[in-house]
Amino acid sequence: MRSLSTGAVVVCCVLLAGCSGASSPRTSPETIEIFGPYRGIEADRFVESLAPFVRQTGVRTRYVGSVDFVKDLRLRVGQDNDPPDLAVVPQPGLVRQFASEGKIVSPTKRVASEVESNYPPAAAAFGTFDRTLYAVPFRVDLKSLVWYRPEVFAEHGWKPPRTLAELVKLSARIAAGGALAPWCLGIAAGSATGWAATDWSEDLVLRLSGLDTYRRWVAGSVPFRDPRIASAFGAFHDLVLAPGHVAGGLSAVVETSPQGAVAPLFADPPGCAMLKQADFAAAWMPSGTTIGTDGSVDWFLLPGTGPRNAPLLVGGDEVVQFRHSREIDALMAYLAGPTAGASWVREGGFLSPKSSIPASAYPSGYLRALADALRTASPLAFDASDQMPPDIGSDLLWREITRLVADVQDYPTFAARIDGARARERSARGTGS
Amino acid sequence: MEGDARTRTTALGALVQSVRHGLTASPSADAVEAVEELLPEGAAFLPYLRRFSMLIVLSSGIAAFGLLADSAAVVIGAMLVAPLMTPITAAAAATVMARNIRLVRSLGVIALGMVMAIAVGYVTALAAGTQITSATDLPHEVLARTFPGLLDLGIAVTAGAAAGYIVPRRSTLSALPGVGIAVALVPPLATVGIALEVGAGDKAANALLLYLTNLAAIVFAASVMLIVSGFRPSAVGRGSLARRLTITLLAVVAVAVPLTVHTRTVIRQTSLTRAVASSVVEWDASAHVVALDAHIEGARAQVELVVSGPNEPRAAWKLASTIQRMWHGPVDLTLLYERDQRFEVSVR
Repeated sequence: MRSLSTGAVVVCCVLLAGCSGASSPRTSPETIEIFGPYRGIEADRFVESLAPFVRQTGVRTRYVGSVDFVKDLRLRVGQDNDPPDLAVVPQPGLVRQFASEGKIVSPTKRVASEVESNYPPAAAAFGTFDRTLYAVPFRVDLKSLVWYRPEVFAEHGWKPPRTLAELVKLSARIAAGGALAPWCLGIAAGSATGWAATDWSEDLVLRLSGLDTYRRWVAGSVPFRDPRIASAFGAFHDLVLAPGHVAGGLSAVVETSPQGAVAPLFADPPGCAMLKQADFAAAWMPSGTTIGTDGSVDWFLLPGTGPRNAPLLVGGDEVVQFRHSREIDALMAYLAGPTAGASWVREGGFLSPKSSIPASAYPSGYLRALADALRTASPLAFDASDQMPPDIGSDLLWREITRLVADVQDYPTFAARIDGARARERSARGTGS
Repeated sequence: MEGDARTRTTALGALVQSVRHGLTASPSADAVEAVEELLPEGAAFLPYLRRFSMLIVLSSGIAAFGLLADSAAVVIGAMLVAPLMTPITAAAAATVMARNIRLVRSLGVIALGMVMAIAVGYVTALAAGTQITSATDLPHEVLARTFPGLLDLGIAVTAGAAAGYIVPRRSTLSALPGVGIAVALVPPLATVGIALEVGAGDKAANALLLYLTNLAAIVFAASVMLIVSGFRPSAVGRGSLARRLTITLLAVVAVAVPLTVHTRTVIRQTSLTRAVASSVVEWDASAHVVALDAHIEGARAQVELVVSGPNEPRAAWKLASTIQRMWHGPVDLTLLYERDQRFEVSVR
């Protein structure tokens, strides 16, 4: 009896805690529906992450994951007027759009307090727009990784570079050797073709122009035609797309998927020496691949202009809520708390942006090293295209950069198209700048 | 009405009397002799074994050909030729009468029959099943023997009881072939051989489970029926009867456990297929299912669906959500939507 009343108190506390600060709670839903991009085993892992909350409160949740998540969510929120209760959104640009349209609500003060307690300021900022918290960061992907095979490097006497200049030299040296290309790259991804090329160019904009210019470029106040941005895209071309620098040439780049681009790295003889791709590329590697200096593959952080404090580009998923209710607010508070995501961290294949989950919680040395890199990185920048308005960052930019990579348009034309679209989008929103 | 009640009372009373009489009285000499004839001993054993082996080879050959030809009539014919029922009933009688050597001998004959029937099924599939290259090509008659369920256990128990009742009563012997048809023994063994030949180990295991179900249930039910008919161990072995019956009952329970699991799986699978079909209708009533592959992996439903319809496809997540709601379990859906487009053109 005593344990029953204790449990009831805990439930009430969690529900009330989530309720504090909520604005005009609606009728509580019987089951909280969460819409997101995770499918298969990732859907299972996400649902497992919610299990402690479900056990503690008795609130039921229902997760729906879709491969066309962004399109489906925009339809649900827009013309179908059938929004879920929560959504796990991989694009801050979409979150910002929903916020500006009043489609999502700001989480409660309790949630904001949990975010403040459990996240480093750089990660907490990913969910904040116009000084208001709109999203709880849930997952982070580290994009500034360069994968290589230690045995191939050792065989040729190459060493992981410490600066961007050293990387440029190494790349030129490998290309001049003629035995293999310095880089593997594939950008074919159906309606998302081009995203892998935006990651590459964003990493170089971040390194060559600095965080401040990067942020202003994302926000639209620095255009693509700006010489600093043009210079970074030029560096991307010279480093990766120049003749002899990429496995299979430019036609292979636009015909190969990011997953397929892993194959030449592991081929015998190898087709390329390096692959710049996010931590999730580990899942695309051949079974039995071991990661580390003694393993079949290893990684280094894409270096900065100096030997220290290379900036890191990250992507990730954030949870937004479309309405308030005691249960939904309680679930958001739980998601921002120290427990949510811990089970997925233990299972592997997942990086949490929370500082309250220690690096020691990760199951492998590789993941612990990534978690350490995230904590110590200075600065940390979110994927630019994901921050831009979805019609540009997740559509036009992907299409146009594909044409740029395929060498069917030059940089000035590319920049003019994107800048023109951004100007039209700003004037449509009435925020000309 | 009063007369009917009296008749029922009288009939019930007669049944109780009969059971009581069976439990207390010894079987007639003719009944004992009939049971003895099930498995000849001494000099007659080897000729019996030769006849048994020949009939096993012939019946399992007929069964294998019938299964490969997908002919139910031929498979039933094989059941009538099959000689396995006699050593199985003999094993039941030996269990009840505590005749260990006879029990071992009858189990040996059963094991020999099993091995031979599986081998004949394997060789027949090797020689005549060239059109079957994988498990997906297996004919319906073969597949029908790879889904054992609790209903099969029920059939085997009642058929075993019938065998135990018929064998000591020569006047009812004409009914014995019916038992052989009701509870198939050789066709599941031939199915094991065929499935092994095409590399379908899971289907072979299921067919073997069906056979073992029939074997255990017949021995147990026939034993009980023989006890009711008055058969008992000799004075020396009397104390072991309860232990022997317990062992056969445990064998039935041992096969009932996987059968229960299998039956639940089949029911869950059926309800998944039904949920998918109903969900498609709810999703878009004008769409129809072109191809469906729905199976359960762990607790999850893996559904691969090809749907065709005249409209723009609706959101796939809605279809997956409906399946999940109807099936009450997690669902992974892969949907291929084909647009019905029909063109009729005339050029003059």
